[in-house]
Amino acid sequence: MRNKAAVHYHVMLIPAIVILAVFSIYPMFGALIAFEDFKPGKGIWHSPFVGWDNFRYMFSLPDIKQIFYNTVSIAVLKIVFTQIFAIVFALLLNEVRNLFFKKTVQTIVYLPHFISWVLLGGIMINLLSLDGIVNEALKTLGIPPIFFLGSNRWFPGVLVGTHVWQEFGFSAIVYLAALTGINPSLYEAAAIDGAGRLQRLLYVSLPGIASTIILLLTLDLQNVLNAGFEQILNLYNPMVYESGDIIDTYVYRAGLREFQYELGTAVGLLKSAVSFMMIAVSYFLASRFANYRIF
Amino acid sequence: MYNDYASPQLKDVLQTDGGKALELATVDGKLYGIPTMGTTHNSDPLIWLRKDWLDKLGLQPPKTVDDLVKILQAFKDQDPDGDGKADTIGLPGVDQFSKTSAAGAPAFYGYDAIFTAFESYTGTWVRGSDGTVQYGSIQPQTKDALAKLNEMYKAGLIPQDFAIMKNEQASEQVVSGKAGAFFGPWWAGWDPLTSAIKNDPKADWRAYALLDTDGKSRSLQETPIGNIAVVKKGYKHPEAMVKLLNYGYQEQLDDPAVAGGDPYEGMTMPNWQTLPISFALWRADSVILDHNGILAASKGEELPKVGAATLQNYKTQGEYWSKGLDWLRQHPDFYGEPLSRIYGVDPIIENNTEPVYSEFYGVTPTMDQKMTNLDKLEVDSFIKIITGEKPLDYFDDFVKQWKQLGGDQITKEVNEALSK
Repeated sequence: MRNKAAVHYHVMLIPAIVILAVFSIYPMFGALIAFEDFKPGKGIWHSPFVGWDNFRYMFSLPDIKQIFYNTVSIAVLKIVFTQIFAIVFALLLNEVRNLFFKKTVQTIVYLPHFISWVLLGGIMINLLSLDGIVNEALKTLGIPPIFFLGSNRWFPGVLVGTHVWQEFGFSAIVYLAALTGINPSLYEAAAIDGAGRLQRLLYVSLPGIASTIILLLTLDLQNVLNAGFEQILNLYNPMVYESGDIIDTYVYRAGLREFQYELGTAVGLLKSAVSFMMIAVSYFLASRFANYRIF
Repeated sequence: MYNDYASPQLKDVLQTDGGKALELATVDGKLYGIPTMGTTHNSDPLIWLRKDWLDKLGLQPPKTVDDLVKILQAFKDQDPDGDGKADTIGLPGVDQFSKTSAAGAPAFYGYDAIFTAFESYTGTWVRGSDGTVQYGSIQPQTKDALAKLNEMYKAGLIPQDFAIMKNEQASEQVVSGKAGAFFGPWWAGWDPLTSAIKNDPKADWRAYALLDTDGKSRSLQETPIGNIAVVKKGYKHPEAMVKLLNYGYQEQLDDPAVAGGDPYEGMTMPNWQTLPISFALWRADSVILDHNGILAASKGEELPKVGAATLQNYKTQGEYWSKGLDWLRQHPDFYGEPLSRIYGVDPIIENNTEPVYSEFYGVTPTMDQKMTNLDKLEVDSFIKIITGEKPLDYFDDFVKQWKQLGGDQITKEVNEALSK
């Protein structure tokens, strides 16, 4: 044994590995359902094997193109806007000197992340309905009421906007932490060279957190097919199915009809495969161009 | 095997819905399992109105949809809550305003009663005059119902954004006193009315049934079959399941002492989920039966023959009811059940509401694939017609589209399945 002390470290890992094996790895065999004509009576191992049929079925569903488009576009918009907002916010907050203010603000922006969409959905519907506060405010400005939750034009905006509000806090805190890691002498050097505040921001802070940006983007990209099921389920209604239906909400409605385990599993497997590809691609790009390594 | 081992009481219970559930669980003459039933009249949409507002404005309770429209207009315009502000509305809105094929029953706050008044049974399979089974939503009567709803929308009796509201928002309108009318089932007394009474103890909520254009009262029922208890093929003692269900019956609906003691002693109702086979048993006619029971208990009359737990409930609720409406309104925690069971069920009995069932409760292959989409098309088209975005004749386009996008195929499959 190279190092006797190392044994007990491995022993400490055992409970975690057991949990991983039982709850994450063993259920992976359930992915087989995606390739079968699943009959609950026969179980996973004995149901007839049908190959790619379930996937073919999924792609033959009407509107599948619109649904995929919605899913990807909503997800991409969410990722992009959340990160931009978080970066700008972090850069700005970093310039604030009052420590107490800084810390308080950090905590406050993080809180919405914990609110469940079952609750938030009701709140948003109240705020954004035709006689809600937002439209009242618009009325006083002389603007006609906007049907936020009932119009296909505005609904994606509502989804992205509320998501940004909820999630930018987390990313912002990570960026703030990264910003404190930038060597202060770099700022001094830039100031000596005549860089103003904005230029210091653009040429010292931003590149300094570039690797963090790429890390967070990599973590987010794997969610590109997720697009926020909980949020959309609680906010949407038949009027906005066209722009708001994502893969998960459609499968949810289709699956209510009959317990379509195969469709659900096939969709889940497809999404996992895509997110795996996205991580691989972004990690490759990151390690090539940003000299970034996780392992 | 069912016939041999089921106790007579179990057989009785399963007949209380007219044998519908058993019929649905039987294929080619063989009973495939023991079903749970839907409860008759459980989801019949009634119009709940504030009688105190009706009295104040000198209005009569409604019998037809047109009566209701007049009442809603008055509620909206004539300030029935007397606070000098135009803050009262007609009906609250909800996103599930018409039953689709995916829904098991008419939704709370839905406008199904209006559709049904025109004999348009959306999301249901109806038998046409030519003997074949057709889809209710595409029948011409639906057009009449939509016309009426469009009228109501234009008059402001339905909120402009009714389709984005969920149940919580609609309940809020009722509880806060903005809405004096809403469509709900007989059990609305529990929710939202308990909260509404807490907010305004002077409100006098009553329920009424709307009559169809021919003067009769009909209501769409919830799906008449739920879970089915089955036995794995080749199991050595299939009769054990039936015996366990007999036991379940004893526990839930009869005298537990006969079954050898009550493991749940001290609780008002045994929790069916912890029984050996978690199979909830109830009588499908319990809505009317319980109403009669509680009414009788409040007057000190003879009570119907029911299980111990239910009997106890009759006595308790009957006692509350005999204390009068004012006492109930002062004690909102006890308000819900007696109000629902008496006032909520009254209109069903008075008008002898006829239950309407779908001709087909199964799923066909094309339904699997295309029905979600057809439902999407249906709700979308209805909303556009009601809000006036599309003219009434758009309905005919919708019907054409529905048939083309798979509706005809599905109708064919349903008829084939039924003729077997």
